Amino acid sequence: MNTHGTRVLSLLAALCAAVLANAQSPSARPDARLGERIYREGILPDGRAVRASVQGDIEVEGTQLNCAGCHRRSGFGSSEGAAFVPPVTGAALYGAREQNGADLFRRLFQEVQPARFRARVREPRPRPAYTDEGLAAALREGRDPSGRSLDPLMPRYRLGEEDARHLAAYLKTLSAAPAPGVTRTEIHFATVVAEGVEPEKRRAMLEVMSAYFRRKNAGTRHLQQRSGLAGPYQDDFFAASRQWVLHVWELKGAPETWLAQLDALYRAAPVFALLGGVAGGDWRPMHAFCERAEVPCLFPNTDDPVVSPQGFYTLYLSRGLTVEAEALARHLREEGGPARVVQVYREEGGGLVLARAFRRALQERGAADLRERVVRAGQKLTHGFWESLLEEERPAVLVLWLGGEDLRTLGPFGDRAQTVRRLFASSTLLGEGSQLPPEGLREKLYLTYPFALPRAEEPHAYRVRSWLRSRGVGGTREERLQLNTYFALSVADYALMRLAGNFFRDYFVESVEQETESTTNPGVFPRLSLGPGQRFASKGCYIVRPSAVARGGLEAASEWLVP
Amino acid sequence: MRQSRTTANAFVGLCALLLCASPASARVRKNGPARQEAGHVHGRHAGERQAGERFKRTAAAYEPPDVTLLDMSGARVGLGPLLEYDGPVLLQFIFTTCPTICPVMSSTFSAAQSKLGADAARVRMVSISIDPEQDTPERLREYARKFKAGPQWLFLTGDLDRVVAVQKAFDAYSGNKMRHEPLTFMRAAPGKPWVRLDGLLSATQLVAEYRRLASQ
Repeated sequence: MNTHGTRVLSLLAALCAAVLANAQSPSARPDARLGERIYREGILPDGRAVRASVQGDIEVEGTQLNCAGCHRRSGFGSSEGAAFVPPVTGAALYGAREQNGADLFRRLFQEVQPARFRARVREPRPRPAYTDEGLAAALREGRDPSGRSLDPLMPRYRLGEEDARHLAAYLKTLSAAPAPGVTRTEIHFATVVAEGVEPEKRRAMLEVMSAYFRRKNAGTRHLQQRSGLAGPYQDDFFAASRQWVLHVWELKGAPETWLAQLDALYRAAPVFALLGGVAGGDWRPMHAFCERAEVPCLFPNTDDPVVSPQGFYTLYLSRGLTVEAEALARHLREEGGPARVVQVYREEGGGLVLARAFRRALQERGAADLRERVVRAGQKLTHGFWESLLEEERPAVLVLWLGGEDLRTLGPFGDRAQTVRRLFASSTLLGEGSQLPPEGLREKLYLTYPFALPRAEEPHAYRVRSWLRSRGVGGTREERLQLNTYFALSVADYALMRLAGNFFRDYFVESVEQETESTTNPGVFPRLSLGPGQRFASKGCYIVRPSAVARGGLEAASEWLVP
Repeated sequence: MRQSRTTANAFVGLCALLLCASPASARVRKNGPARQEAGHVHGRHAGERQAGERFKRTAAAYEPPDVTLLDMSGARVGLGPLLEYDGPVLLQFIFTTCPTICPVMSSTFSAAQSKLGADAARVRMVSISIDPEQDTPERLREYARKFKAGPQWLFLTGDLDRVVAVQKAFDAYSGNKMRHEPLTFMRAAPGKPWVRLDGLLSATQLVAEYRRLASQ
């Protein structure tokens, strides 16, 4: 063959190779994003759910059981009901298995699990590092690189070669990048204080924070000074401890500008997480920031959280005003009987949130005879306003989503208020120490109350209170805020301890989900607990009524309602 | 390099330090007493562990309280009459956000529905949420759909204290939902003893346990 022919042939061959490679490349190259979908949702690149068998003979779909369910979004695994689920991050799989002393200590002595779990944790089960092929075999056949069978709880997935490669590519990125806000010696947190917050609230919250940080850091210094004294795990503990540094992020001006301010503050000094925080209005800008920057935000002091769609990184104490409105709707429904309900609210702030949630909750459960009276911004309520409302609407149930100032304009109405069987208001919107409506209506007044009922003794609150007083934190009428802030800090503290030096934010959020239920509840809410994917720690609300004899001036008129 | 001296005292000291370092050291592990209780449970339910199996079978006379719970439609139902059902009853405790063992337990029930064949219509399956404030009737409906539950499979939620009372009656209360263990209970007919299966089962094992129960 002449040289020309050879050249043509080789050109042709190169062309063919290029065409072939091109045709294959979109599917052949491992794609971590496709792997992420398999991992988190159990959905294959072609949109079908991955299929698997578990416990030997149970056929399941990826929508019922997927990787993230047990190994969690962080890839650090989980522990539940004697089941130990090992980490599957790239670092864990593609390295030989080794024990982290701090992590082992935590699992053995701090994890609340049955004896079987501890026996499993003590079993080191060494194995060589995984390869991509070895991982595919483990996923499909349930065999690890040492040839040992994986627990029957681990599903055997029917994954194609390519799907396994996508998944492997994703696992290599999982919890691989160190989280901003953590250095070798320090971990940085921020707390938000928005403009317009009463100085008393600001002071109450920040005093608790600085006392907690001081005490925490003194403990860490003490631990570090003991270095060299304390046995084989000591280096691990030392490596996992950090000085806590607090940044107070003061937001100024209109709420529409807060998101940009948060971005700028974060760029200037990145933090690992936001703790507590206080703002007058809704928490939307902070929520948006945290979800976008993937910064955990733990238990801010707000009555107006973002309820829907819920985020991943923002965790709240309660659904606040929304749970009040929904609990009332449920209460009225359970009492039964058709009755005209009239709700009165200002077209702004908390009143609007309550009115929307109440309307939605009533409508969801079928027909309700609901009428509405909207008070415009700046409009003063007068005796005439109420008289015409009573005259025209003749309500059986009057729901007043108004503040104390507005409620003072009520009555006296004499016989005209006769149709009104009951009067409801929000304890949150009303504020404490508000004046009660006049006689003829006062006996009919009920409040939505999303907190624990005032009790004779609250041992946990007592203990937190004495902790605070002994560290020079003064008393305040904002005690709820102090107790809630203390709770946020202690949950963060335990959740961090559980990470054993693995400072990844998804893992932190998962740890918070786990620790919230076991951390002492200082008593503002009857119960505080989370679970995987849960974002509101307290879930219900009471209906109460004023009482001259009951403690705290309130007595329950309903059980704890979880709408 | 630092020298690490492994003296028991120093280790205990470190443990104590770690546990006390936090100002919240007075934290109550609510499940302290429950752990003890669970210890007794293990003692009591020495049971038979089947050769080659990973679960343990025990017979017990439980007396579930007749409390009012909520079904998937939000209607109030008495647990007493519900468990007095004139036929075999299979029961599990689950919660819908449970990451690890509940999906497998529920998958076992789900798969057993078809493996039971004609018996599926005679059996009553009950899953009770141990996280009732989170698991509203609506969330239970969604969960039931996910596991393709037939009409014989009931899901219950309700007041937390009542659900705790039911768990205690079945020796299944662990104080913290993340610590709950995989348990399946079954009984052949009203008044007959309950069989407690401790551990995760395959569908074949569950159906075999059911046949064993039915043949007695």
